[in-house]
Amino acid sequence: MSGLPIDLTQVSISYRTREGMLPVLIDLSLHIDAGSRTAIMGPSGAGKTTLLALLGGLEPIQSGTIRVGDVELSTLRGDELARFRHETVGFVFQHFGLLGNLTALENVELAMSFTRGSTRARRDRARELLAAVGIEARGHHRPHELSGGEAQRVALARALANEPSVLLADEPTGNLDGDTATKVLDLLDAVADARGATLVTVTHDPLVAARAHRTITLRAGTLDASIAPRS
Amino acid sequence: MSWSDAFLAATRSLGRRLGRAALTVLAVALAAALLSALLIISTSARTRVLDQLAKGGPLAGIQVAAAAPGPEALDTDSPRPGRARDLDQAAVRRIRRLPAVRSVVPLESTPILAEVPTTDVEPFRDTIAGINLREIRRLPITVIVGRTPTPGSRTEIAVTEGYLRRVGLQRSTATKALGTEVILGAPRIFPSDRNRPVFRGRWTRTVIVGVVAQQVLSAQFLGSDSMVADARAWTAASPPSRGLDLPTSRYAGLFVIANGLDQVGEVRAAVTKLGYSTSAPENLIETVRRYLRVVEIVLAGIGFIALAIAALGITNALLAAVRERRREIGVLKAIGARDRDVRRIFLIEAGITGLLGGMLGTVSGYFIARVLGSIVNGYLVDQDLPGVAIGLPVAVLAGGILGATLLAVLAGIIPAQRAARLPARQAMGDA
Repeated sequence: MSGLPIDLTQVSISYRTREGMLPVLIDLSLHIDAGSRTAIMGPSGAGKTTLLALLGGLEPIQSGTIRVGDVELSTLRGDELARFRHETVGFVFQHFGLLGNLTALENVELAMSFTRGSTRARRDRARELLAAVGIEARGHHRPHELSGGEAQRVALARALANEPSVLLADEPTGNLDGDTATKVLDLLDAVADARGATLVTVTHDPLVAARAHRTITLRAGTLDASIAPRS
Repeated sequence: MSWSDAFLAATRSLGRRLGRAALTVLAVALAAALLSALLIISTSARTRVLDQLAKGGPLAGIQVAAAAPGPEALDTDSPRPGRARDLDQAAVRRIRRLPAVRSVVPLESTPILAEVPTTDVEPFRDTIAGINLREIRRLPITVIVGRTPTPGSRTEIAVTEGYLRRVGLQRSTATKALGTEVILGAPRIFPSDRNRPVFRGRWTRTVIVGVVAQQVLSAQFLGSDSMVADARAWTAASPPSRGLDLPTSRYAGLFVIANGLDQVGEVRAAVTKLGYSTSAPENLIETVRRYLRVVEIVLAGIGFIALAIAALGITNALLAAVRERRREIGVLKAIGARDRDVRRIFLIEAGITGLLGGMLGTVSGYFIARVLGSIVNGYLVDQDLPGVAIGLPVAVLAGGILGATLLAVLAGIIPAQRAARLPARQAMGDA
């Protein structure tokens, strides 16, 4: 696994509301280096989560272009987009996004069930990933039996299941207390660095942003500031 | 996503919402139980009614008389026969060779004198019918008590309810007749010097071994063909025109069975063409079948309405599940699920609900039908009527399970489609 560069060119998106069209991102152009750690900040409604959804192929592109590595996302349709999400992107959500009816191990396995592969190989790989994030012993517990930190570790293991080139994290510590948040962030940085993945994190927390190589601030759908990579 | 992975995801999802899943399964089960119970009862009732019309014999049975066809011939189920016409072995062979004929059972009869030594009943004239008792299952004969005589026996007979009445018994006390003795005499006239015929009987002590519900050839006694053939040969040796009026026909009638109810008309026409009068309740049975079909359609309609309501319940439950699981569906898509993977999971959920409900419902319906059948049987037996047998209708059970599953899958199409079309963005919550 190695990171991919991301390029956005004049990306605009707006949502239809009762009051009319609401612009969320306006002519946004941006380059993110392969293997870098980028934090996206900004007030609520600035378009941070929408930007993350666009990068991950969760949101259709209305205008402009987004290129992840050699792939132009606006050219992908249906199954191609699903394959892109499956093979290229790993998501970490604020709400963890674990399926409550599956165990931690099965949640990680689920991410590998959309491609061919033996059940045994999937299970072995899921165990490895849980061990890598330090909660192998909790593999047979369901999400409601896990603490917030443990659940986010499972989510991280699931995000890594298909060796993604891009890791997208939406407020990954939003539901965690201070110590647990630090541990999860350490782990996230460590696995991203170890695997060379491009990490993009949406956050309100300046401490989280401070760990990134670069911080992008959005305001009302436009780029407000881009702080250059840390020395 | 493979079918097995989708199946696992669907079962886990159902397990997570166990209460709702159980209620949905129960709704399907109730509907399937209603449908299968109605169909089982109506099928059994149809069998019973048609059996009654066919007097216990095969529905495709045709009676052939030792007579030429009358003017009504094939116009009615029971036409008046024409003049007497001998039914011999050659006629039996010709009829057996006709297309669509499954079997032919010859019926013989001869006049007898009967004496019942254990009663005060005066000796009386009657008739004994004889058949090859190995073929008795092919005839419209129902044993009320006891059994049929042993094939080839010359001492065992069965009697009808007419005999019971003659000796002061009823159907409910028919068992008292079993084991009692009846002395049967085959009459014969011998010439005498004084120009007055002399009657002499060939007497046989017989034992009643069974009571049957139907008369054969208007006879109150039923015995083996060999017993009747011997008696008839004795009587037939009488000089002609001396008052016994024994028909010249070897067989008094035939019971012909067609390959199926639909071939009855064809066989009757062919036998009529050969020159013999026939009768069969084909028109009556067909009319009753049509009425029964209407009743079945109405009952099945009620059951299907119930199933349709249950299917709406499945749709509603799955739509609620889709609403509740928007984020979960979004997460599935975010980690690589295609639209068809999501659709597959929801369709399997619907199918499992239908399968479980269908299995539970049809099995319950079968037992409900059995309980109702036993209640109805109790009433019928009280009324001295034959009971209704509730069989194991495999087709109804299999059809009920399969139908409930298919209907559930159909009911799941709209929710599954809605789930499949949810945008992947739902993973991050509503925009």
